[in-house]
Parts: sequence; C-alpha cells; structure tokens
Amino acid sequence: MLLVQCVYIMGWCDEMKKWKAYQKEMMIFCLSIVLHVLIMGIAFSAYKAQNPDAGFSLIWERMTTAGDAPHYLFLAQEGYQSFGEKENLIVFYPLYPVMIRILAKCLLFHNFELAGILISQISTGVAAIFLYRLLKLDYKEELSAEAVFLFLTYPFMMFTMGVFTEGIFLALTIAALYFIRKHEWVKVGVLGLAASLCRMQGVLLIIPALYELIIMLAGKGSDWKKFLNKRQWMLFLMPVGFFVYLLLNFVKQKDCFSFMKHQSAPPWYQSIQWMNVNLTKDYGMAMEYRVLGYFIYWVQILLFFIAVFAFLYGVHKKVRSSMIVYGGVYTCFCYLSGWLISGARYMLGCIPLFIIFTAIDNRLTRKIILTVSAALCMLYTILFLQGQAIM
Amino acid sequence: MGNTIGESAGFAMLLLIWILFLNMLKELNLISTERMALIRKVSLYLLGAGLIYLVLGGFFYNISIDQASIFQYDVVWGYGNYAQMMGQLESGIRNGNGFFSMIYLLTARGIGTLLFKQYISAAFYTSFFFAIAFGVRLYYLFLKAFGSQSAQNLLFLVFVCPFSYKLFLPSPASMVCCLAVFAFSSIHIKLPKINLKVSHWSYYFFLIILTSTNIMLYYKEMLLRK
Repeated sequence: MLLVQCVYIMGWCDEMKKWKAYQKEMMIFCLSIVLHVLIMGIAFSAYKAQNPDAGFSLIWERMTTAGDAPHYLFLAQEGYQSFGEKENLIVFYPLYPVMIRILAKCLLFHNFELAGILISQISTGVAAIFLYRLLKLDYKEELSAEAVFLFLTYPFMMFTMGVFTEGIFLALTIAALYFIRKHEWVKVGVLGLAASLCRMQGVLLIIPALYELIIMLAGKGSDWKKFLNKRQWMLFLMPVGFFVYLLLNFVKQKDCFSFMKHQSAPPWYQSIQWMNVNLTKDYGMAMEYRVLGYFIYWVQILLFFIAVFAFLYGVHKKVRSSMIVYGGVYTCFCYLSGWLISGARYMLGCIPLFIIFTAIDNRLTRKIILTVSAALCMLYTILFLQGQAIM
Repeated sequence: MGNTIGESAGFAMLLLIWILFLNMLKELNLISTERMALIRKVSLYLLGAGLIYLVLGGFFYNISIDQASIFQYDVVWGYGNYAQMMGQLESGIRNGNGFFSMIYLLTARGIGTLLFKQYISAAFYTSFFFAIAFGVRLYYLFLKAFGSQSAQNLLFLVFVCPFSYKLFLPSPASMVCCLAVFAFSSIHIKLPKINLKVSHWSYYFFLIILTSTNIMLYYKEMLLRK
C-alpha cells in the first residue's frame, strides 16, 4: 500500500516538474489577463468618476459593440452574405468568426460575445508567451520581461481585450516569428496559413521566413544544397490562407476580388497610395479635425517616423535582419492604405518594434518609453470607454 | 507642412529600404562588411546633402518673399521642366525629348507607376538614386587614386561645386554623371597613384569659392526661375 502511495506521489512530482518548466509561461499568461483586468478596471473607475451611473456592463458593451466587433459577431452567427446590406462584410477575413462560431456552439451555449472575448484574451496571453520566448533567444530575461510589459501596455492594447482580430492575429504572428527564428518550417507554414486567413497582413510573414531561410542557406556556403529539405516547402503554405479567402469571395459573390470593391466603397473608402500622399492627407485631417488628430492622425504620423527610426536603430544595433525586414514591410504595407484610421492599432502587430526596444542599452530610456506607453494606454482606454473615436 | 511630412515619410521609407538592401547583400556575403559600411556611410552623407539642398531651395524662395517658414514644398516640388513634365504625366499627358531626357523620364515614370502614380516624387527619387550612385562610384575612383582622406575631400568639393544642386532636382544631370563615371571606371584606365598634397589653405579657399558660387546660382535659379 505504502509502495503504491510512493509511486503515486513520485508520479505526481514528475507532473509538477513538467509544469514547473512552464512556470514562466504560465506567469506571463496570468500577467496578460491581470493587466487587462487592471487597466480596464482603473480606466472604468476614472470613467465612473465622470459618469456615476455607469455600470460594469459598459465594459462588456464597449468590447462587443465598438468598431468592427458587431461585424465579426454577425459573421460568426450568420456567415458571409452573397447579397443584401451585409454583403460588404466579406471584407473581413474568416478565421476569427469561424473560431467564435465553433467555440460558441460547442462550449458556450451560443454565447458568441463571450466566445469572441475569450478567444481574444487567451490569444493575447499566448502572444505574450511567444514574444517572451522570441526575445529570450537573443536577450537577457530582464530585457525580455520589459518588452513583454511594453507589449501588454501598448497604448491601443484595449483592442486585444474585446471582439477584435488583434489578439488572434498577434498570437499567430508572434508564434510564426518565433518558429521562423527556430527554423521550424512546418510550424511556420501552418501558423502563416492561419495568419493569412486572419488578416491580409498575415501573408507578409512569408517574407521574413524566406529571408531567414535564404540567409541560413547562404551561411552554409557551397554545401547549401545539403540543408534543403522537404519541410522548407511548407513555407509555401503561408499564402494559401489568402487564396482560400479569394475562393471564399468567389463562392459567395462570384468574384475573387469582390472584397476590394467593397473596401473602396463607404464606410471604408480604401485605396492604395504611396505613403507620402497618405501622410499628407493625415496631416490635413489632423488640422481639420483637431480632437481626432490626437486619437488618430497625429498618432499615425508619429508612429510612422518612430517605426522607421527604430528600424534604422535596429540595423545599427544588429537586431536580427529578418525581423527588421518584417517590420519594414509590415509598416510600409499598413501605411499604403489610402484611408488609414487604424494605423496606431495596426502597429501593435509590428512586433520588431518590441524586439528593437530590448536592444536599447540605456536603462533610463527603456523605463521612460515603458512609462509613457503605460500612461498613454490608460488614457486611450478611458477614451475608448467614453466612446471616443479610438480605432 | 503636410506635404513636407508626406515627402519626408517617403524618403525615410526609401532610406530604410536602401539600408536593409545593403544589409542583405552583406548577409548573403555578396559584399564585405567594410565595403558595405563604406557604401552606407557615403550614401548617407549624399542623401543628407541632397535633403539639405531641397530644404535650402524652399528656404531661399521663402526669405525672398518675406515668409518665415523654412520649407516651401510647392516651389521645390514643382521646380523645373522635368517636375512639370512629371506633373503633366500625373494628369495623363506624356512628353519628353532627347535621349537622356527620355531615359530619365522613363525611369522616373517606372518608379512613379510602382509608387501608385506619384510621378513628381518618383522624379526626385530617381535623381537621388543616380546622384548617390554617382557619388559612391566617384568616391571609389578617388579612393583608388588618392587615398581615403583626399577622396573624402574631393567628393565634398564635387558636391558643392556650381550646379551640383541640379543632381538632386528632377533633371537627367545625375543620371548623365552616373553613367559617365560608371563608363569611365568600366574601361579600366589604370589611374596613377597620386600623392595629392593640397594645403588646407588652398582646399578651404576652393571650398568656399565653389560653395558660394553654387549657392548664388541655386538662389538665382529658385527665385528668378532662370
């Protein structure tokens, strides 16, 4: 009997050891959730001082009705439409609504809102874990932790809390970047496919992947052919997600590019233009709509220059080139949008910025950046709760 | 101001692309680290010189008409026949004359099409590209013949000499210079190793005379359009 008990306890200890190996990851996951709750809670108390009648339901309401959230919920419940008022919702990529639908129907008794929020919260935690792992490959633990904090207190972080694609896209992107660094090409292919089913920017992951592969092969000199294998072909899975989306367009609306037609129409007015035109327009809008300038236009202009400066600094500090290339391509792609109003939100997906942050040697500079980011995060979260145009 | 911000963004992105391109060449072992660092340094200096010329152009115009702002976008961006031709191209009118003009306009047009029909900006980018290529190649020629210190000094002289501002404005000047220097270096004339010894006095005297003449011409051209 005693022997059986000992064996049982030993087995339990082994299990505990396994869990201990993931202790840090669990902590980061919990940190992500706790920070979400804290930031939203503090922002809500500030909001409540202004509006004493406000209840906690406001947070839920903002998370499920702000921005594109109702569109994702509609898609999860009703699916894409071939005609009618909602046919333009084909501009949204399918992965997130499909995940909401599956989770809501299988586990949450058709509570679509809760499913959307749960997916976002869990994926943000996963994103933070992979960011930590990615940074730990090149930097010290303290620096990596600081960057994770910066990521979790990015001024527009509230979009990872509600029914938005930010959380899942970040999780897929950061995980893909991590496996790109580890040269695990099968996982990169699968994650890239999922990312390109989540958002158009997902397809850009193929660039750092190919860059990393080519540099790796170039480093092998004349023996490079020996290092080619079948698993590397999996990288070409990455754009497949986008082709699936085109197919979906065709099946639903008989035109592979019908999403472009809808994007160029109201309320999105999207077009593709070189960034000089777009930023000139942003400045004009900032001058015309002074208040919106502080939420949208000035933020976008500043972030663009900060990003380019950061990438140049990253080159100087010898940050991994594949990551900087991804950052450059991602930034360029975002700023080609002719009617950009969510630039600041999109730049949360520019993960190389957080990597470059870790490369800053001066501790005081890092602390100042982190503090300013946290302060802005709180400010914008309060404004988000107020229903201001935080997009 | 808005246009200045926009154009700065375009230049910043092109700078990033250029730096990443050089970095990639180094990582693929196509150029050595030292060579890459040298090209990067020279090209950055030339880019800086070009941007200073553009700002100066607007500034000259502004102080002449009693305006306080530093940069006058419309004057610089709309300056010269080539900018006007590109502007017409944006409105759908095609033109161009002469062999070099044609090549220049075709290049700028190609880049402009890639940049979603931003033809005037593309003309500036084309001029900058050829000017930087010209400067880097010329630097290597000087380096071979006169050594590092003299090469730097000579390159500096070239980029402040009269009419050098034209290298960075929409015109085929930079392209012609670039092609000439590449042609010269490709015919493999062995330059004799010259120990160029010019006193500081003479060098700075030349530098000041050339810069003053250059600025006088630029001012005249920007203000009087001739």
